[in-house]
Amino acid sequence: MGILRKRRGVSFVRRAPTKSGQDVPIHVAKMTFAHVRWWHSHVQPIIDHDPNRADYGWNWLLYVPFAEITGSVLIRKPVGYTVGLTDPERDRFVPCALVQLLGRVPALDDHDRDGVFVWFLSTAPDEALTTVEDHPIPVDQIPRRLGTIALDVAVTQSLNERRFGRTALYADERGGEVLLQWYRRRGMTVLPDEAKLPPGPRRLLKPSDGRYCYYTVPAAVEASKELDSLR
Amino acid sequence: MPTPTTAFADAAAKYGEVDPNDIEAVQEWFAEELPTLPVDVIEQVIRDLLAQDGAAADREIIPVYPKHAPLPSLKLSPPVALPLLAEDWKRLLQRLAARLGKRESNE
Repeated sequence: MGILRKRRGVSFVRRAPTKSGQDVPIHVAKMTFAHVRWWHSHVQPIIDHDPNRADYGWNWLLYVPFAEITGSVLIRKPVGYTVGLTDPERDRFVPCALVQLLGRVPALDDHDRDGVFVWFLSTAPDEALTTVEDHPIPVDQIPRRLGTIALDVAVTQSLNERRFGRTALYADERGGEVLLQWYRRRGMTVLPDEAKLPPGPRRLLKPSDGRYCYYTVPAAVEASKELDSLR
Repeated sequence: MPTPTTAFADAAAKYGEVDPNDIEAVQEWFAEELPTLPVDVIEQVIRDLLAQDGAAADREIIPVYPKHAPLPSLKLSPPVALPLLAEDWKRLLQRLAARLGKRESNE
């Protein structure tokens, strides 16, 4: 199964568990300006009430042009995805998580191979989903495991783009040890602080300080398998 | 820590002569003006921003949130198509499951 997953790719998650015990339908769409405009109007103000969040003060209205304009500009293959609740009857798509990736970056554990780097990743706080104007999500219908699902978007992209699951990110300092532990529990390895980053601006601007995390190929495959029941 | 918002504002000021303290003008420049610029300029903007990847913000920018942005349309947010190869993989598993199911029912 691991070989097939690495060689043939895998589909994105299509359902999310809820407190009610019933899964809710979600899907992963290419991030659009409409998604981030709604996010910056409704979700980001709630996030910005909490300065301890890693995504405090972010501005997706600035980040999304990367996904839209860089298709022809082959540098690091940036791509943005939105994870959202779907309501076909009312033609609504409620963004619950945004993920901006760099699709071609040297892997942290093997600088000669490319991997995916999670540039920005944000999940909506419960309060943002229960207060959607004209479309409030009941508390027991709020999708759970949004962080894991958003991280899986990156791993899935890596598997489908022949990066074999190699995925890396930087765990924001504001998340402290709790955030590092969360990534460890997802199967990621923390790069030692004395390790050298691959050549690039980060090696100089943000050298390894024990907060870079990465998936090895086997760990990525295992993490991907864990969400198979939701695909 | 990703690329700080201040780096985006500085890029808009450098390439679009936009006031870097006017975040709405900066946002508008990225959404409207940047895509119309020559590819080599876009490349340079991206290079500048990636060069600031991981850097700390050197000042604070007061956020401005858009008012009354509508919920996105589902029709305009289609699911990302399954890669062709993954589609094959899914079909293979479905066939295998169907075959195993048939065998079990015969037994």
